[in-house]
Amino acid sequence: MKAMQKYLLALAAATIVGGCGQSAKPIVHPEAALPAPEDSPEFMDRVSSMPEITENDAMRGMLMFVNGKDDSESFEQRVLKLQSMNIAASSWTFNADAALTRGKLAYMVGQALNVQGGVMSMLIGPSQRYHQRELQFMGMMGPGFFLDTVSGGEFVAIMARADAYRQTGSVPDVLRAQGQ
Amino acid sequence: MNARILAVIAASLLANALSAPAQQAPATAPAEPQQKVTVLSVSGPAQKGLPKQGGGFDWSNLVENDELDDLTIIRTGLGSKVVLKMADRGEIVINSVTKVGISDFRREGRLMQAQLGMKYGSLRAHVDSSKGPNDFRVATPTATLSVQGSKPEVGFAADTGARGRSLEGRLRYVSKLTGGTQTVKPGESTEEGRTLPSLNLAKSFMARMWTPGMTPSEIQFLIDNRTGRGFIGGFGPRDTGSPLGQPDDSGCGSQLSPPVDSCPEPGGISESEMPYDPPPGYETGY
Repeated sequence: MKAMQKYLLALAAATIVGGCGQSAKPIVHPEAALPAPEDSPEFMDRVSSMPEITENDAMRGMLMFVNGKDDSESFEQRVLKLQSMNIAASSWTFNADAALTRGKLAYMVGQALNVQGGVMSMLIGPSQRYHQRELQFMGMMGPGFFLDTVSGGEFVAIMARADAYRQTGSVPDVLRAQGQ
Repeated sequence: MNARILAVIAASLLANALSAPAQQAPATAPAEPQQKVTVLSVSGPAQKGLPKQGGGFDWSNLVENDELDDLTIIRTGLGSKVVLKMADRGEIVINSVTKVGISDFRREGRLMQAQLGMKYGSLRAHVDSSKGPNDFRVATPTATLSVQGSKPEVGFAADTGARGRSLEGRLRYVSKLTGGTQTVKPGESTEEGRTLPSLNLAKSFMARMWTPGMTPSEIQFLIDNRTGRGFIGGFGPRDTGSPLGQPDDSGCGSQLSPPVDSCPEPGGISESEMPYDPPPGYETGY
């Protein structure tokens, strides 16, 4: 029994030390820019046909969602702004040219909408996986693995649902994702 | 004998020539000029685009009282809403994050024809049939939804496909992929998966391969999740728990591929007269 307690203590200590020591990971392509300032109709139209949306574009979309605009000049600025609002986690790896994953999108949308998760979310804090499950339950995202990438069309669809939810408190039937 | 035959032929030609002007008289009322769509209100960021010479579009901000012609495209952003007035036949509310084009809006006699093409997003319309018959339809990349006089709600999302909901009157849904149809009553929604029987899976897959604006993964997602059983496990669409109810006593509404000729129309032209091949243009990929 004592051995078990020691093991659990050691595990907890390792977790705490590991967590404290976790520094922000370097941002890949921090200087990456996007087309000149664009407003949200133009942005949504541009990304809607992308086979995969990049993290750089997705961060612009999230800033437009929460601030109404994105006047950042680089990818790094976008990331820092979203991190300061607790919308993006500092523990993530950021790469301007990498495709956005469903988990990261779910996390950011969930944080932006202040979605309250279930018991697990309350115990361990926000996570990509649980935010995704919560958004699936709300009809905002369809089923899928949280490490799958997000297409431009899917990104636009999820943002449209999130925007409708923010305005009305629900996702319209004609846009609702099913199959969770 | 030859002279008689020649005389008969000559008389026949003469008769035809004399009757020709009468045949050329207009049999139907001439088409009236294109109808205008007026912007009643705009909230939030919204733009209109008009095709320019050499390709592409000229985009400018949409403002109240703008009059929009055919071939105008409207795109709305986050937190925005646009209300359009369709001459004397009702209104359209375009919701946020939507791109929709006016591909046709004209009056022929009493019939008002309006077709919109939606790339993404959602809208709600109130089509007023008190002033005459209407043929109002919204074409999306995967389906065309039409009404003659009612309140439909239409949406298209890349990951779930096209969906319609009738708030009043009947709404007809025609899949571009399989030709399958649904007609729903007020309070009901269409369900894309119900028009995709698995026997048509290959056909629908091929059709979707060439649907602009959809990636292969989205195409596969729609097929996987909307048809349910796929190649294995049986035929027919999965019961997705859609709100489709039972047909009414007359056998109309709430059914797949209904016997349209026997279903009464609330007004306007009958469904069997409606050509469901959408005209080429703005329904996809603009």
